[in-house]
Amino acid sequence: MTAYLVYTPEILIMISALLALLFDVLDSKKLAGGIAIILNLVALVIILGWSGITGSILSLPQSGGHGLFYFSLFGYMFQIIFIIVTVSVELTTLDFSEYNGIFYALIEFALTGMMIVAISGDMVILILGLELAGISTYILTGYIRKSELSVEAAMKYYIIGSISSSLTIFGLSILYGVTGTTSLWLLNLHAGYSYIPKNNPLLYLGFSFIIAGLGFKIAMAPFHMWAPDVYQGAPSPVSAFLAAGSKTMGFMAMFIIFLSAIFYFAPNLSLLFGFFAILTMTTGNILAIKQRNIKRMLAYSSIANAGYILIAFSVDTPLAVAGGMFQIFSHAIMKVGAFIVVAVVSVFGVGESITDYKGLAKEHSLLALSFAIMLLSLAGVPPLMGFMSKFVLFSGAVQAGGWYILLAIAGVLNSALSLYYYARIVKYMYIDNPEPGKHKNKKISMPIYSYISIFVLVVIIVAVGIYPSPIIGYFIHIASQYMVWR
Amino acid sequence: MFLTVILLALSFLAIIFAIGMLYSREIVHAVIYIAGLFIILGLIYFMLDNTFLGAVQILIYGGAVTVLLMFGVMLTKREIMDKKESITTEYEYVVLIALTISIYIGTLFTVSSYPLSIYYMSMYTLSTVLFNSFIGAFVVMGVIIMSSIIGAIYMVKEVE
Repeated sequence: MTAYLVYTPEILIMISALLALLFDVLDSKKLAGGIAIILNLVALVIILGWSGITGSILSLPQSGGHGLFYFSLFGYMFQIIFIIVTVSVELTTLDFSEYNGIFYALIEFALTGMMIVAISGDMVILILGLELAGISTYILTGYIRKSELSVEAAMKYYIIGSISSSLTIFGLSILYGVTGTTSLWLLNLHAGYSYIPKNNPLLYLGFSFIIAGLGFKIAMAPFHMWAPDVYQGAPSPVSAFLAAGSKTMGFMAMFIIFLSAIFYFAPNLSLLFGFFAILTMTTGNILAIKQRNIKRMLAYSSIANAGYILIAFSVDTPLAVAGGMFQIFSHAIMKVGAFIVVAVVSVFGVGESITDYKGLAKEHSLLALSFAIMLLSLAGVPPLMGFMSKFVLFSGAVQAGGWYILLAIAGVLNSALSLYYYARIVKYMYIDNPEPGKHKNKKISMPIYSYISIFVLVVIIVAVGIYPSPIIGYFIHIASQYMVWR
Repeated sequence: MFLTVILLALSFLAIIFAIGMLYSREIVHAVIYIAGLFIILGLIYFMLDNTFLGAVQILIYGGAVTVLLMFGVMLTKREIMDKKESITTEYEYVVLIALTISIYIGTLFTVSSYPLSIYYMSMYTLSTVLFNSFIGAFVVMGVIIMSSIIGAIYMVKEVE
């Protein structure tokens, strides 16, 4: 029985999905969302205990590989990100009438898939986790069925997602064929053994398929074209979930596959990742400049962030990986917050065009302030969290020396470029006057739950930005522990 | 001798079905040809004494994949289906893809370090593996199917 205690968070989240379905039948949507949030928070407390951040309420499971799973602080950290993102999205949706129990059930199923990816130690369970999260998010994207844009986005996402899954599975099947095992942690353990061929051309073929497949998931250029369409068409809370949760899951899967023993088998991948990093961040930032739709702009900024994070895969030292994780964490928090603000201002009649944000600060000063903090943090303005994460990531690249410094330079230049389109919105909100006829102050109930989630996210962004040393130390600790096999 | 003749006959039949699939003018006919091809391949596996692979081939390819293709045909617009043309028109691509796949499979066989240990895989071993070391994957599979059923029901429900 105690052997199953390690799955307590996942089981709690599954239970919350089933309860949400039950409350959907009973037609009490607030209760469905509330119970899902409470059970997620319980799971969060348990994982915080296991990850050594707070005292643990359940005894610590033995870390390391157990059959299909691999328990590490690394995985727990990602689980914490997933739960924070999901809870923020669920809190926001409590304010909107169109989300019922099925929404919460599906988002909890997606969260289960992400949690499974985070602790997976085997190709089979990794793919199943990716699929569980994938299938649930395809439906969530088309959740507003009256909106043609939403259904179109769902169809696009479904087709792209299927292609991405099949590419990933094909790549992993080649990896399995060459190494003879599906267990990724066993592969790590046996990295030095002679039965695993080094520099085998088939390995590179497999890795190309895996990079392409997961590249679709993380919206890496040149596989990024779907992201703006999908994020624009999906309902804003779901866009938040996709940009912050689904993308983080893709990175987790890449970390599991590529930061394990892979570089030992195929050392030439570093250059490839460096190339993709520069390509992705430049594409994302340049295309973001000319966007007129706020959700498309945030989508392109998300692509640019994927480029920054890819630096960690290229440099592959504990400091750079810690920086990459920190960047993933901060990107998830900032992006989920930004999309939630977009969802909330739509309640007040503000459209999706960026010119609709003109003069927002005069009527909704709190929302405008939060949005400004999130955007400036995304741009990497000190003393916010986005600056700190980029700082650690780029100093990781600089510390590694050699041509990796080029990656840091590209990252800094791109951050400067991105400041233009983030600061433009801040200018619209604070300096420009509202266009006449816009911002009809509809008499509606205050979106109090959204305010709570925005407040918590802003507090995290500012607090970590001002006092980052504990969290940086923790990330470096995790990264060096995870990469101990070398 | 007798078995060799049957094997050769089956192989010949498989080629006929494959060509028939390429040249048929109706999508439904092509699907029927490909279903026949899958079943003949399954029979060949049976003849080569790999009953497990044969059963999988007939059940998954002859059954599931064919049904999937049929669904695809069913959900496609009538005008596309009514076009009385051969489905495949760009033969140079077909030849290219066939060559690539042949080279790929050929490489798999020639790479000597490839641990394709052919051991006897029985249904008994399969169930042991499935319900012991891979039980977690089995459970997650159930969750995936449940979530897709819930999603499908939601998506096809009438919009009120």
